[in-house]
Amino acid sequence: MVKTIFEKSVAGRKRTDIACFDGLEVVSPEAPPELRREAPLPLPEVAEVDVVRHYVGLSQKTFGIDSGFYPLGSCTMKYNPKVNEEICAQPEWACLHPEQPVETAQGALRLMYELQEALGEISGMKAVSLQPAAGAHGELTGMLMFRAYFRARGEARPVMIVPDSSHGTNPASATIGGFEVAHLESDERGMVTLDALKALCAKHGESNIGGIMMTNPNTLGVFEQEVREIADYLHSIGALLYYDGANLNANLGYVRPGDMGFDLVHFNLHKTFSTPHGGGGPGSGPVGVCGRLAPFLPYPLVAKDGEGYRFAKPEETIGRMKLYYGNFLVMVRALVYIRTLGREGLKRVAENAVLNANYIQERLKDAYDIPYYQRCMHEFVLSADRQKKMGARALDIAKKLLNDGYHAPTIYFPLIVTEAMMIEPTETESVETLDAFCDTMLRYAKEIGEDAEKFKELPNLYIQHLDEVGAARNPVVRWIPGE
Amino acid sequence: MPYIPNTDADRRKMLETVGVKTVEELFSVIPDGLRLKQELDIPPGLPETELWLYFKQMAAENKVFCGSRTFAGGGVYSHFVPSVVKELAHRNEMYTAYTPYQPEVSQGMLQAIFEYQSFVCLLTGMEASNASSYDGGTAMADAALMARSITKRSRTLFPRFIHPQYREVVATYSLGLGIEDAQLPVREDGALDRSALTAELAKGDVAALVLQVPNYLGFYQEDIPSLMQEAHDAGALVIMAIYPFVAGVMKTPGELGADIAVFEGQALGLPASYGGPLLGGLATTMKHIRQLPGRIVGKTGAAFGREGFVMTLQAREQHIRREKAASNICTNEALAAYQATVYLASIGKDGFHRIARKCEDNAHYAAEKLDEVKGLKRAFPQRAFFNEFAVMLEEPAKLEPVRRKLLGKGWLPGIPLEDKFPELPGGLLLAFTEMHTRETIDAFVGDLKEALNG
Amino acid sequence: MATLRFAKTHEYIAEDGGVFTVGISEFAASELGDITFVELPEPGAAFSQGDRFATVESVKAVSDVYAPVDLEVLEANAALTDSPETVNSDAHGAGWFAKVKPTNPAQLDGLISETDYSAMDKEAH
Repeated sequence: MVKTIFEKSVAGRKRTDIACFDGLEVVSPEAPPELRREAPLPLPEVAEVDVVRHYVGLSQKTFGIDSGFYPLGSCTMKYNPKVNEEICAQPEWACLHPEQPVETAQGALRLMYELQEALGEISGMKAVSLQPAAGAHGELTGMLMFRAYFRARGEARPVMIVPDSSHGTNPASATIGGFEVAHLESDERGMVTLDALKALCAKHGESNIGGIMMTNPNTLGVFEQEVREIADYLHSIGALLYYDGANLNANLGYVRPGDMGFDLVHFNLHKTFSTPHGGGGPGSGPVGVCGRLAPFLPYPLVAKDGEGYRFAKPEETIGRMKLYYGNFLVMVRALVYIRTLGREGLKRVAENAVLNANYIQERLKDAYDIPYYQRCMHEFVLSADRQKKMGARALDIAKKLLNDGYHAPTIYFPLIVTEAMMIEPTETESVETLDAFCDTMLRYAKEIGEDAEKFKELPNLYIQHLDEVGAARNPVVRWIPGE
Repeated sequence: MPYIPNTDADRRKMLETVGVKTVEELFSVIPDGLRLKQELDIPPGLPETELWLYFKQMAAENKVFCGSRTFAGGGVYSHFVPSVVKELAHRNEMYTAYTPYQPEVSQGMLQAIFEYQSFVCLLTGMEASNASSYDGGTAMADAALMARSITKRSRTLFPRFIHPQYREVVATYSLGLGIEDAQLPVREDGALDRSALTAELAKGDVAALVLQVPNYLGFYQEDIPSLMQEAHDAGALVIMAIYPFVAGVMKTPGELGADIAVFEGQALGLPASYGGPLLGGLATTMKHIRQLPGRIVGKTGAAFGREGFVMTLQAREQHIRREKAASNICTNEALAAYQATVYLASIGKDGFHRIARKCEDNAHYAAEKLDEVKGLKRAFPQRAFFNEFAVMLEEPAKLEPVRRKLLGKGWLPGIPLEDKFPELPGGLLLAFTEMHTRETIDAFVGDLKEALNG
Repeated sequence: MATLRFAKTHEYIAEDGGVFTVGISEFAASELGDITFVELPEPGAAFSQGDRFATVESVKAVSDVYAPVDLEVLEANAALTDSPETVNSDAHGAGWFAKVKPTNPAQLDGLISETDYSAMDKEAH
């Protein structure tokens, strides 16, 4: 049975004293009597050597980019540079208090200003806020800014259009931002077309349309050919365009969302800009905007003032999206990355990301169905429909990859492809890794054809077939003292 | 090129397989009119030695006040982080992992989050925690939205001395839903104006009463049991925000009857980080678990009679519910939660309670010393406090010059309050942790006395 | 003996001696897979035909359940809170969602009969 740290606790075990605790009884003489804690909380008592072994053990049961290939589509799992880690751990960055006077944090403000400028340049946007803590947070920021913009113009524009290929955060953010979601169907190339868009806008009434949330390339890894026409049309009816920056890796130095006609962009620093995923964060989701949306950005922004830097509040700011300035130490890593690559390096990133994805697609296209087969950008989606007919689904192929030392690609997304597997290698992988992955996938196709049941065996996975149904019906979400 | 392994030979081989002559051709899918025709206006890349120089130079423009030289709190505190925490939190597998959607290869991260959830439930007295929110402010916004969804009412009541940024974040989040919140005034002595509360509850449509204990100014909320009663009788929930270490000396929000608990968890093993990344704690009872936003990890069975961990109740989340999701949160603060878990495991039961008492003890020692300083007084001397309290200079205009002198001596002398609370002119918020000793407190008080009066 | 009538969206309304019960068809339950949670309406709530009046969760999906006719909810099946799997094992019996009162009885004639529903090519929907 699994032992959590709590189950390793032995009464009386403790570590060295952090500070001088002489004369300090555990029960407080200062807390008001009706609130005072009388008995200590049952936190674990574990010797330091056992704490270390416990968490080293957990790390060994976790697969990160540093463990192996991670072709997770839409996540851009590129190598996390170690120099970024070491620099942001320096006390001059890590120990800054957010309330210390601005004159004592000019280095931090300068870093944020440079990052604002760099992101603006990369995306073709006029102004940037670094405050949102994640992509979805940036999306919500964008939706709230759109609402504020329309409210300031006295317009009610309740409808936000979301393509059927979109990431789940898009419609969720639109709803929380106060919009009604209208779904737009992609065509047979997997793209959004002007005609389909016009029909949908007419159906809802053009003056009710707030805008569209898109990503380009889209979640199929395909560049939306009609994006400029779509932007011109939506602007002509008074609506706005939101760019989900998850797929920015394919665009760097080649094309900019601002030039495509987008009014607001969110960035995922933990995708495009190499900051670590951390098992689910912390990330950072800055937003960049065109001129007319700039007054609505969250505050504070960093402004440059003669020789110095200060915080500024946009005139019609939507307010704060979170405490303080955003995930600052993540920003440090991102700027180190941008300064490492420079203008040339960023272009090479896009080139190699796109080349690597096309290479895998070519190698796998005969063994697997690729419903929207075309020149892709940094990712593509294959379907395991053929394999499903032979007895093994995308889920089984994914689990087999885990068994064989890879992280699986994204599965069952986007929703418009059945038995979907979305593969994004990124530019930081060598061709040997790509070839080994392709060889494995080709071998799987063969094995499934021969004996799908045998294929589904997972001899290397110590933990498998977890009971997710039981976990949802009877959730056990904590260690309970005394049980 | 940094971090790009492909050689020209590799590229040639791949281009041949793909069937194009140059990498440029792959970008022909982009309509020509959209293609960037000039170079990005970004400086060229720096080799590693120059990279270090560049960032060292920038870092030198920051003044750092580590540990015992700082008295700034307000939600972000300078606690001591043991070396073992920094090392374990930086295990490659953990920090370079993605969200654990594939549980078979993520049992370590999933278990770490389960342990984090367990710690949160112990500190808050709740039954279900999420895997983290972005920070205490957004966790508060999430809690307010939860209360609205559970009670089907819309207003939230905030006491005057809640962290001002918490209110601001809730207000921004409410923009999408078109809701306003109400503030409850306090009396001269800092106690909540109970008649104002009664009047607001009587107006109806109150989803939740928020209590922050200790509040932004560091003092405890009085009459909690009767406040709970009044709010609950009116059909409202109670959201209690705490400072994690106060659980070492005070009963938990759960024990006090709160429905939802919130905290800013930076104090649990994270550096001050210029305000981010932080760690938002959000927890509730099993009754409300389906309205809890964010990821939740559950323990369950696996093949061969083994046990393991999975993300559960995913049907609440954006990737399934899409536009019907209660929250859009995807990436959260997982690694910070893991770091907090390692910190709490490492300091353990004894460490946690003693650190709490040390912070409290240092603050009370400092308060006594400051009471002897002419020219300043404590803002709310009648209110019991934990590790933070506010003082006010009798001549508010002196605050700026005093602060400058202290900064010049290498102290970060707390947080000025007047811009946040105009009724506290010349106000300064001082926080104390286990990093301070009586000697450093005496030295600070001495320098403060001199700056003020000398 | 209960008479079952079905909506195109796979909900049924059963009539047994003047008592009307609503649930989802066996087909729908099996398509959804293991059901982990059912969110039911409050007694007294009124819905029009086609309104979303309940939701069903499985591990990886959430599905809306629509009112097959205009109705008022009289009672919700509290047993489903603890045992949502009953919908999988006995969709037409113990896995009922709510006892209702149809407020526009003529609509019942427009629904699909049990025989026709069994014969229907459900994959097409």
